Amino acid sequence: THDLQNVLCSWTTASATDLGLSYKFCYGLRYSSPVCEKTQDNRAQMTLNSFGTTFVGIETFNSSANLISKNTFRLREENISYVPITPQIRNLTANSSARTLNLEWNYGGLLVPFDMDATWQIRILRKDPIETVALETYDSKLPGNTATILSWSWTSDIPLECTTHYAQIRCYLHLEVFSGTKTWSEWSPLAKMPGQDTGSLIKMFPVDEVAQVGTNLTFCCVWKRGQSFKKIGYSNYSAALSPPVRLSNWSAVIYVQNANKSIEAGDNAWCEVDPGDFTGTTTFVGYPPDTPQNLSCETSDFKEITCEWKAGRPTNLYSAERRTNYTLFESISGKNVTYNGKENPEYYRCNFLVLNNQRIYNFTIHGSNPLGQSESSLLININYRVHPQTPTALTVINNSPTHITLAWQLSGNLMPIMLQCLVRINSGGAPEDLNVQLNGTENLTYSVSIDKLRPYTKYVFQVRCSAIEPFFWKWSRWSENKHHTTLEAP
Amino acid sequence: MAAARRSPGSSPHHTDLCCRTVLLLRKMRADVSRLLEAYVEKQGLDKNFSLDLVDGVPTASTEQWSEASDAERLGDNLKAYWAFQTLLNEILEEQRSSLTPNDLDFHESIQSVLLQVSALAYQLEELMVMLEHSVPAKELEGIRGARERGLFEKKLRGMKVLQELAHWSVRSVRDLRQLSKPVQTGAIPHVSCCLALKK
Repeated sequence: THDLQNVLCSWTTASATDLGLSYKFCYGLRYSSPVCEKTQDNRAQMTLNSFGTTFVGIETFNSSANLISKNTFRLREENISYVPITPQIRNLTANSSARTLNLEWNYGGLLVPFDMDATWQIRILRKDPIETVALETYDSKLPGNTATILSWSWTSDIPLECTTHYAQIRCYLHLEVFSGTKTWSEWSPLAKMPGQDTGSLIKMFPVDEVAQVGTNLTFCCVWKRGQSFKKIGYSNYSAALSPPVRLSNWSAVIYVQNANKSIEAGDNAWCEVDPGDFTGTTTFVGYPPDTPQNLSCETSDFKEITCEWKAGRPTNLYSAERRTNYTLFESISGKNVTYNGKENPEYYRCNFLVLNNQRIYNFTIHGSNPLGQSESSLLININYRVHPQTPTALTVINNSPTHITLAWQLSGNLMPIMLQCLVRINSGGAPEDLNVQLNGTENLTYSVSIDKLRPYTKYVFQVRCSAIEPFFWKWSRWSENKHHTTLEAP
Repeated sequence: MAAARRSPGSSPHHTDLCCRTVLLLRKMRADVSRLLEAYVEKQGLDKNFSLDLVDGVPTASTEQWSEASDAERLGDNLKAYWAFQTLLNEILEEQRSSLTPNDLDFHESIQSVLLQVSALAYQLEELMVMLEHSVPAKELEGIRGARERGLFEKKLRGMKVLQELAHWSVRSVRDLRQLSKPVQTGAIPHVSCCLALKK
């Protein structure tokens, strides 16, 4: 039975030839009058009686309508097989770049009177002569009395363009309530995904692929009717190449095991056919982005936060289409910035505008290239990440024999923090350091008075600043030297 | 060393321009040969690849070489080098954007050859004007189909461009020397072109 309602019966006859035979098929319960039908075929249909015995009688007549035999059978549910209706592939699509075949089929409705588990087997075939290249099993649940659309996808080991692929499906329904034997449905008709090996063009696939080091590559060549295949070559001569495998009249494939890094412009696979035709493709073998390393973010002026990081292992993939693209996300504000600086610097840097009234920043640097993606995160309070710029424009004011005021500029609005500045006083002997604490200002200018100097003496002053503890993060660079000679004593 | 023979009607300026052009051709030939070698290696190609099927590149070989007139000779050269300007620009863009984006030295060597081709085209045009030949129209049409080509086809094409450019630099020297040959009749001035220089 296909539907737990009707039972399809078929039988065989002992006679050598069935010519001219006809049958009278009757079925019924023990005490009910039987239902009969005459048939030329050796098959008939009856209603499924799930909870009792069905009595079946088959009378065989020869071509002269003489009764030649009479057989009776007692059938219970256990004696009947449940064969699900053959599923039909509704839609077969291909994603060539991902090399995936996507199957879609629907099932259920009246065929599935109540919720049940189902197992599907999907067979992928190709080549000429056709052969099975994949047999995959897929389990699902089917809701009762509801037509369900199911889908499944398969990733091919070769580019789908290389040759025509076919898909077939069958199912097995886990019908606990049915006590008879349960079997697989028939295989569905073949669904076809044509390849490019139609004899109308010469080309290699995949075209300009990006692959990961260590994976196995496949290159196929399709050629024109009337041409004959000679060879497929690969420019990475250290690679382990399989001999070419014919897929069909106009298609052959080679496999490269455990691919290693390609040259910057990509390794080449080429195909030679007679008479004198030639085509090829380029492939770039590299790595997905490594986890961004040494992610560090700081501000020098409370206007911009500069994040920097290192890429880690080189990907060996270059150019706009293949290099690693980085984006800096900040999850609290939801804003992001894309890196668009130089390719492959030692340090990558991105600037992120400081946002009003936001001190805490949750940064994630996200890197992606055609082979994958990776990210690193960092949570900071920018008050604790102040790295002042180099002090500039050192000038001496209020000059006297033993006392001066040293002024300098520090760019950026550092109002939010207290600074500490280290003034290095050098007059030939061991330098002396003066540590002063200053309020951060908006107008860039800072100064400190220095006394107990020796009159008429040459001094060299330098300054560097940082946030005070506990906000210390990094010292600025030392300023330029400021040379000054104190006035003579009166 | 053969003495520089002066034909009637050729001025020292013609000869000087012609000499400079031959010198440029010789330098360009050396640079193109080096560039071609580097190109083949950096693109992972094989120098024995058959490039016969690569089209859209001016080919130096021609059946009618010996019968061509001076105007045709110079005109063919000029059109070829105009085409090479476009093709070399295309190659340079492909290398910068997609194939060897980080190899700045390599880009510079392509750029250098490109500049020499531009100078060569300029000098040939000047020579034609001087010799009162009509300068052919410059077809500015870009080379078709660039976008659809895969990277391998672009690599092969670049190899063919450099190969043919090397051949053209040899042909052009011969073409210029062919101009120097005295012709029995005809009033078109000839030019004495550095015959004394080494081949």
